[in-house]
Amino acid sequence: MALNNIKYFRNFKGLSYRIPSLLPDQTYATDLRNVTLTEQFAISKRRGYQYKVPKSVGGNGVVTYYNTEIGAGTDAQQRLIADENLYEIIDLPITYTYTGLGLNSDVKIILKDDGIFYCQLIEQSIPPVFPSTIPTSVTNEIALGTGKEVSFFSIEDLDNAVDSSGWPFELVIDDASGTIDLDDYPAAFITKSSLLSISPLSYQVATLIDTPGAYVPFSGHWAEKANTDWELQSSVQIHNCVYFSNKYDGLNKYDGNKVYKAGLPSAGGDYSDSTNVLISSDEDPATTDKWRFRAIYRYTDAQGNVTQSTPTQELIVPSETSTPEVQIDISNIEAQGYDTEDYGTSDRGLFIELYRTVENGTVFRLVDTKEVGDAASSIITFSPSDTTGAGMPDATLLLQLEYALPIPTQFPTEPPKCQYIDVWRNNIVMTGNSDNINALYVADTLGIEGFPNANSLDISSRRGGPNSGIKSMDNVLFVFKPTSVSTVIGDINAGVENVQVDALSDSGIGALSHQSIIEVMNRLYFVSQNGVYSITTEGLRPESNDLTPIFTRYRFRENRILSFHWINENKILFLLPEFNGSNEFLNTSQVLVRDIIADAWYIWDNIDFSCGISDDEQQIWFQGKDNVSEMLQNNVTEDYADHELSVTFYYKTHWEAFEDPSIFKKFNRIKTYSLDNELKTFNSASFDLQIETNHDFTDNSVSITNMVFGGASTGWGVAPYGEFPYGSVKVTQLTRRLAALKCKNMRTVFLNSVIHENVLISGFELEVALIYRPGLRGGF
Amino acid sequence: MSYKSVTLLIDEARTSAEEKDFSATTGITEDEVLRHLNQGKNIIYRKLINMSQNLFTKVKEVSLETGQKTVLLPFDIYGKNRILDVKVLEGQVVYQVKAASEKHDVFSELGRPQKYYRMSNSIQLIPANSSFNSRVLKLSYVAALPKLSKQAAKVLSLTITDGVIADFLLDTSIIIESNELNKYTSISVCDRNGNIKAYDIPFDNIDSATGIVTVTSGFVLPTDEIIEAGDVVVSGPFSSTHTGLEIDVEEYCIEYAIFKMLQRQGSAEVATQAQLVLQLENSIMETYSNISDDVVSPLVQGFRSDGWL
Repeated sequence: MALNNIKYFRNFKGLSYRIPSLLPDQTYATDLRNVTLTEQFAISKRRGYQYKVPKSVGGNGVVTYYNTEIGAGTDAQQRLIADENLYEIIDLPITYTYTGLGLNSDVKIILKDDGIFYCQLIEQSIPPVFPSTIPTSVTNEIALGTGKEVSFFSIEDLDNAVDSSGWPFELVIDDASGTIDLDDYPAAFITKSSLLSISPLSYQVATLIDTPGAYVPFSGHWAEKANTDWELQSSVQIHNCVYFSNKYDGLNKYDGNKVYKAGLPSAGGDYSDSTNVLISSDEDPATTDKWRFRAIYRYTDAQGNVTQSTPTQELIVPSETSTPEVQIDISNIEAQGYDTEDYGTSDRGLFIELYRTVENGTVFRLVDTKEVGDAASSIITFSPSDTTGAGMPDATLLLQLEYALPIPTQFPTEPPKCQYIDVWRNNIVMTGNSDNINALYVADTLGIEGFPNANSLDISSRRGGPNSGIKSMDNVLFVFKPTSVSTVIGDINAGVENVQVDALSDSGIGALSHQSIIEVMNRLYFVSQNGVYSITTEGLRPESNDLTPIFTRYRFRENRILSFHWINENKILFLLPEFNGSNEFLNTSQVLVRDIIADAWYIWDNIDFSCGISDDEQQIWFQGKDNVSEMLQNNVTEDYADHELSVTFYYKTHWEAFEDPSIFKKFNRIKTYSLDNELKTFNSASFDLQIETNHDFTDNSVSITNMVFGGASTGWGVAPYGEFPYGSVKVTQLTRRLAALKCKNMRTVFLNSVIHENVLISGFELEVALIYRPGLRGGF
Repeated sequence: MSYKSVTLLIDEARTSAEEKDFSATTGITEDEVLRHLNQGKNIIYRKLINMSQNLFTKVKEVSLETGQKTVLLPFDIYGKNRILDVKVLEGQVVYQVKAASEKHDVFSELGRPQKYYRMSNSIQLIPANSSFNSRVLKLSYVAALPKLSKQAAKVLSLTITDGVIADFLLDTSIIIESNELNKYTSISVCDRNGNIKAYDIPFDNIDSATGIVTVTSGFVLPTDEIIEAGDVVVSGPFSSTHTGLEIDVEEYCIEYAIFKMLQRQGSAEVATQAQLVLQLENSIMETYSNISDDVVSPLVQGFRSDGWL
């Protein structure tokens, strides 16, 4: 007979389905949900989130845009969401006035254990009423619901409820000068407060970003959203602008001012063949021409980037003609989505530049510029009779050498329509064109939104298939197909012959979705058919061998797989979205989490960022089928709730059999340690840890016991943990008896599903009695 | 006289065995500890009566009526057959009643009973009692010990009319252990010291919400049994909240339960505990072997103080 203590003190390594059941590795879990590891590799719970903006807008991708203020050199981060339009999410403050007798007052939005949000109006230190001598505090509450109700309790309702309550409070709600209808926003979406700290109240709204005229930038793509092959549109930031690309609407951009069509059409394309304009291509310019004109569009965006269109064909003015006019038709330019706003005297905006040769010359020089926004009609006219403009004398024109039109680059009339976009060598690159599924398009070095035909090449693979994503790393562009990866190196602007395409992987490993490809610390991660892979300078490497069974068991929507790098938590999130028969996202969809520091994998659920996720000054925000949400990262215990629900946490150890799975033994007790680090960063004053045991490879609970870490009901003192030494002593270890039952092997399950509670499991040990003699008997 | 309630016994045993952490799904259940205590109690009881039946002798006196032939055996007689002695008293005169067999039951006339034989849960007197003088039958027997059981409820009120129990209510202000009560079809009622006041009361239903006890129709409470408000209800026909043993013998029950719990843990301390239990057993046997046979019921004290002793 012997008693042993088996200790689980080594660093935990997350989940692995690869560990032999009969030769367990204590550091791995057999199953877990919503687990994360602390800096000291203790087992803890992932953070929760709160809904911020109702789901009435968005669903077509999110991006955090760094809006640079030209001149100042500073930037402001903007949260952008898209559906068929683009919106900015802005934060609006809610303050209050207090007219009562209390010395202090506060207004908080809190979530209670009943899963309901409340607005608390708190009056502190109200002068006593005789005969009492003790100042009192009063907390008035207004229930807000969850905000998910069909008829939710709105911010307007809250304002009215406070007004009619008779309590000496009045809310002051910023409604953006009356442009926000407070009835549209649930009060439960107001930023949640912490009980232990004072934080200002605010709420978030989505405001429509302006477009040229009635232009709807993503209408074509959004119209297809019910299709099962529909993907989020992709975006990338370059030249201080953010570019949006999808295969229906083509390339659009947002420059901090408007969202509009990127690139420029050829002015010739809209050239009006009016009777006053001579297009004489059948005449011999060398002998009969007097002047030849060419025109271009030039656009300067809000970030100061200049884009030029492909020059028109030559407009030939024979010498015998007296005073013909050059007319440019601009009637459709705004309707196509190009920005034609008049920005006054600044260089911003869309201009027509007219170039001309001297008589029988070959070099085109700028003779006149007119702003499209200034045009009084849909025709912009240049008259050769204008001797300071189109009709400038040849002698004067020859002095305009610095304005000589460079050899025109032949762009297509507009950028190609591609589903995927990235940046490579400071140029936009795109692929995923419906008509040219293997084509890769690279923007011109000088014309940042121009895509010369010469800058296009097909990326083929031995296994075939369309391009499914692109991502650059270092100086290499990786072009993905579902079953292959190709590398592109070289300088395409120097000619296709200077580009080299090689197959990195041609053996079935490729990217299922463009959104799954992500670069983290010079390693390119992506999701293939049977797992997560990465590319480094050492080549292709499988990353998720521990989780491979997931990829064979679950049927997720491959083209909606989405990855995200949570920088300050050193984690990469891979959402494997599942949809029901009605094409609705399922909250049971799993998020595979790669912990880069711990070299561990976890699985999270009930976190839906299927419509995009981004970070904004370390704040993580995302959109799923239900609303825009923000991860709670205030390092308080209130961080641990998924809006109104608890974060369901469980961790199942490996089966412990002492390498004798046929021999009975008794697991008597479990002792669990909960040790914070020296910086005292653990954020729950107390928590309940439910412990269950499973016996003999059967997923049934045998022992069910509970550990309450924190001691007194108020936890480790009233103040946030770690601030003061007084109060309840921190519980660092607890022991519990397990069921007095013999078994051949056992695993321990830790659970916690309590709102606003994190857990901290630094390690645990089991007291085990090995009292049975070895021997194999019949039966099971 | 000091007895420990079963709750205290369990607590002491759990404390020593470090088994105070328990629930329906963890540790050693209360039922199991109770079983260990009962087992310890039965072991030491059997050893003691094997050494001397007189250690557990009890006496039942029955005033015989004219023509009475059948005298019911006491409910707590061990093995339903451990009769030690039967006498008939006529005033100051004592007559021995000898054991016989049914074949001797040939008398048809009444007289002073001279023989008896056992039949089921009774003895049959030969001959049946005559009306000459008033006679009292004095029955000496080996008393069994009741099953240890935890308090399951408390009596709030009831009425007893000619032995028929009506309006039997349990106190709902304290927990009614309906699961425990429903393990058996009858209950026992004790006072707070574990003295059994009523045995084997059959019931059809006990409503834990209202506290109503539906006693099985036809049951008549014997005249020498009584139930009062505040009495303790325990599960089973012959159960008590106390062992009825002396403190030093109770100690054996505790140590035996500790031994069993350590065994359940697989603890290395179980061998030492086994030795302790054995030593304790030997010392108890040695102690009570020195008590003379004429001592009546040295261990069972306080039981049936309402006239059964």
